[in-house]
Amino acid sequence: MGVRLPDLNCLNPRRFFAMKISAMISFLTLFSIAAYCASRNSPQSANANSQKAAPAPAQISGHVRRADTGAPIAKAEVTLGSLNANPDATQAPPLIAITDADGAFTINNIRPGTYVVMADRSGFVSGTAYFDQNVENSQTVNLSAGQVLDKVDVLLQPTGVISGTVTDENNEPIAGVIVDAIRLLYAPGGRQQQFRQFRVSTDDQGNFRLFGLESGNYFVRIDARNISAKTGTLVSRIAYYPGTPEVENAQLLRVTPASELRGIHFSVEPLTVYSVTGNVVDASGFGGQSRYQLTATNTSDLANNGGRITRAISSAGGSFTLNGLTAGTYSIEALQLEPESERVSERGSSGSVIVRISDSDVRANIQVSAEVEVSGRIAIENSTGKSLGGFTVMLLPRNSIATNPALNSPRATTERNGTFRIRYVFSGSFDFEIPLDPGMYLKQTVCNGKDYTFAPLAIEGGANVNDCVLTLGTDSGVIKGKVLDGDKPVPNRIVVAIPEEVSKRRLERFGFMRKTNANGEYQISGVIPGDYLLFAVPLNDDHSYFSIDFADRNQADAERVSVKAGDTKTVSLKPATPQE
Amino acid sequence: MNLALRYRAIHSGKAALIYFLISFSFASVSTCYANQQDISAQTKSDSQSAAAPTGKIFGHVYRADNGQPISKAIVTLFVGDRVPNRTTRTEADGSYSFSNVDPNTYVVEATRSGYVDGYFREDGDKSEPSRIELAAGQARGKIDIRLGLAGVIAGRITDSDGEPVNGLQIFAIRPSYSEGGHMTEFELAQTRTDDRGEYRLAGLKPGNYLIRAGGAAKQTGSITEGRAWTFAPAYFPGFPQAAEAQTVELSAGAEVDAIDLQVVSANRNTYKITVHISGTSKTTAQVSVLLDDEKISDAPPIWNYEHNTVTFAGLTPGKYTLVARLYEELPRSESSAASGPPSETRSRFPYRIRVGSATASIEDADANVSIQLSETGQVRGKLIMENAKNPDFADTEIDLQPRAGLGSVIESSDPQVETEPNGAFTIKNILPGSYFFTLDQREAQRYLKDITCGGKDFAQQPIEIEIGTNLDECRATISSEWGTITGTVLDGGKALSGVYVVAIPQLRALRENPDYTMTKTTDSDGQFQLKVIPGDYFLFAVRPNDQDSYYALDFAERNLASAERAGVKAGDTKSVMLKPATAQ
Repeated sequence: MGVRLPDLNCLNPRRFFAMKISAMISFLTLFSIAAYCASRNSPQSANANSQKAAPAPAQISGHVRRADTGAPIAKAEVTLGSLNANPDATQAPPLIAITDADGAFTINNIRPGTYVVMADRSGFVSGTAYFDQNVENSQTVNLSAGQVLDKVDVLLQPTGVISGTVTDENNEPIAGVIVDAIRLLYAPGGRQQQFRQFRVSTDDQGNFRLFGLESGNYFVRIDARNISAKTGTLVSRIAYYPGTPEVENAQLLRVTPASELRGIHFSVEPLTVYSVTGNVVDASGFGGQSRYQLTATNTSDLANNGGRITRAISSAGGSFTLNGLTAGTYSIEALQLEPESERVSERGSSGSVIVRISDSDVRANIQVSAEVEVSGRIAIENSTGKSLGGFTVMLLPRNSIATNPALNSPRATTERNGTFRIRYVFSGSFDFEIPLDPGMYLKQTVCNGKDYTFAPLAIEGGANVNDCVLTLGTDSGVIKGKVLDGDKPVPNRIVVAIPEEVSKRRLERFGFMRKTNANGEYQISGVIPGDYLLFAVPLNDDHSYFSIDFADRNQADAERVSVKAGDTKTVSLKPATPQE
Repeated sequence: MNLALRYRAIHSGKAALIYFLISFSFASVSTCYANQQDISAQTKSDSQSAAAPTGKIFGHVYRADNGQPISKAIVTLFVGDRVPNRTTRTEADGSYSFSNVDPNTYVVEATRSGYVDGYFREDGDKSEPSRIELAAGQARGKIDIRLGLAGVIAGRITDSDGEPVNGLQIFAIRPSYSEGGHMTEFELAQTRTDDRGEYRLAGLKPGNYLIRAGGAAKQTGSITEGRAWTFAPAYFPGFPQAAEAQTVELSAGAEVDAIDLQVVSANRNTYKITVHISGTSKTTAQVSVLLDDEKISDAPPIWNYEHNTVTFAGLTPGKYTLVARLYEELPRSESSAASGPPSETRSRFPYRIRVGSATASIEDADANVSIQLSETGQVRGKLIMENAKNPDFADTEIDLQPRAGLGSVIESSDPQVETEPNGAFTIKNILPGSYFFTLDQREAQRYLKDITCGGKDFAQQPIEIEIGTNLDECRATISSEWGTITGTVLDGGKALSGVYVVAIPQLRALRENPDYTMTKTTDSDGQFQLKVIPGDYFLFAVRPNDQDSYYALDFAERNLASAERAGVKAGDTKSVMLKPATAQ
């Protein structure tokens, strides 16, 4: 998450997060392939290359500085990453320089081509150089033969530290407890996302030190091997600072650059384990003669590769007991089994329930129903003859932090005539979304005569939903303008347009944002007609402007704008100082 | 998983290295597995009704030094020798108990922060964990485990500007010795420095350690994770070589702080060495780069076949040795026509190695060197069997063991030995260096009594091989008349079993020859019988230790006080009573 990737993606906020991550991966892959090829240069190819006239090499020089103070950073490693299709094998080892005491670096003998300039330094978030303030996607530079490019600055943000201790019930240190720093980020639609940023174990004195943290909001979570008071066995215990198994009750810790948050103390008491007993019930109110597989997943553990799992199989008739569960919130899923087998039935019934265990055994029934189908068609407003095929219609679960991100959203691709059929939709409540190019937007959704444009569709009781009509609008508007501090244009501000209606803020397609250029200008295209609050906020890696209550917390800084179909609105903004 | 390896480690000194690496790196992994299994094992036992009557295993965990109970120790029950079955925690009085235990074979381990991990061992401090055979319905008590206090070594790593180095790997190394006095570095524990450059190696068993830092510093939050910074290896208090390093003495329960080290970045100012190879028209020479006589492998070579050069980039200032080797396949006929009928020991694909070396000292510029390939050394001769009418050399092969020089540094460069049934031998492809003649044979039935080449005796001193050395008419005498040393190891009046008896040649030069130092474990009556090459020996009775420190060349001098002396002639048997030595 260290690199700010091309903000080009901001044009299409729906894909912002997926692209941010995938772009980083592909970028790194490209780089490592280049490095790999370079290290494997075969004698033959080296030979062949030496016979060709080599182009005049290019040179790049500049400084690495602190993003906050502008002070030079010595001993930073500057790497030139090649994005060329055919990396030249003779350029091994990779193009690297180390900055001197003035933070200056020079890299010589560069083969002409496209490059990214990256800098790393312990204590700082890795960064890349930006080459053109007026172009948003400006992390790459084309070097021509013999070119000498100087004054390339790479700005690095200092990292922060969270430190503390873990002790047991007698206040004695516990060694070997896994401690995670989990970053909380927001995505369009107000979704909260957790990313594990750093993991350490406590030392023999029970101390931990989570360092190298990019500034932002963090949960600190421990995973302690602890004794169960009830069974005498060891059970793994998860707790969020200040000592709760519930992420909802966890305290967010704010890490600021170049600072240390000390004294984060956990006290781990002996554990008690509980059981969940109950019945699986179908629509008729009975479990019938079917058997079910039950899976309890600790919902607090989702950032850690999908959760800690406890399984059991119900008796015929559906009664079940899940043992050995520590306090916490669990999602218990029931899947119908094939008769006389432990295989999960492919089209069987399923259902789930959220269970919270605090200090006693819990009884819970699970309502199951057959997986259903959602079908319908799409239409494009004011258009005839356009192909309606190839659009992806998705059902995004209305989620909180507790929803399993590993679950794929049900989806289907439209036929040429615009019809779609989404199968195997599990129970829950969903929003329709269609990834679209700017200029088109999901304008209206109606199923069985009921409008779901801004309201979630509830799937329950095993009933199919047919006859959905999703209308795509083409009359989106534009919001543009300047961010001015007095008379001074403010570059590198994020301008975010937040719908006034809260119900819209929960929809991914309403996540509109854009960065100002060197002249403080911005332009947001593809704006869905409606009323918006505009904010010009500082670059914020948490994307906290996507949180549902951001606009309400920062009312004072908002500019209002009403965008009608096809409108272009010009709004000047003052820089906002948002409240966290 | 680590348990199985521990067992093997007891039988083979070399496996001991693996034992430590594995047991440390997997400790945390097995902890995780144990966690996962707790829940699943529990749900399983709930759903199953017991078939056979179950038993019980219980006991205490005590401090090894004063017998005080250890509370909150994690006790793990392993099925057989590897599968973690269950874990529990000791009470305030150090007691633990596993009930409903199925009949099976078990091993019990206890761990506690601040103590060295330990197993239940019936014989107290013998290294082998005891297996507990639990019969159906049986209760086994007094399964007591004693844990020794562990120590801590802590310090701070800085770069040449005195700034902390983050993410650098630190090793706590126990020097370990093998026959011939070769020191092996045993990485007993490892950790990485934090953002302040600080490190803390905890849970160490008492003993002597070397502290080494170096390699790639893994920087948190870095997008080029794993590449980052590289530092030249350095040993506390700041030397590049283990030989110069200062030993950190750690006693039980102690913490040794301020083991600080300054490391030098290997990233800055790197240079190239271009090697031109002559004396061959072929282009397949293997070139190795040695820095201060240690092989380094992190410089991928760049070949230029047209000019017969190879370039190594990314080298930091220092003194380098470059060694080129060329393997040339020989026509088969040449080899088989050489002498006598083909033998089994003759290599199927005959080849010869041509070798050359050059040195380059890099200060602040790239270097160019030339290497002329020349002949490797060769030794020919005849084996003579002492007191044998129809000697059979089928299972006997003379060998050259590298002691120093290129032959000991370049891996997989062992000389090729061919022995004819009549005892004629040829040793080919010997890289320059210093070697010992040894006898390679299936069972220790014979030994090399003496070997003369050109009138010089090499039985008790190394032979120097140079480029082009060609020695003919060596005569090697092989004897089966060993000397024998028998005896008993007594501690007060008590016979000690499981103790190592080591016979070390009094002549220091011989200790470098792996054939001369002999070891034997005492039997249940504390008795031993050692076959030795006739000569004068120091005898020691030592506890088996993870360092095999009795192979160290100066072990005998350091422990003269507890040595017994024995001079043994061929065919003689000497009887010696030994007391357990407290090895220094």
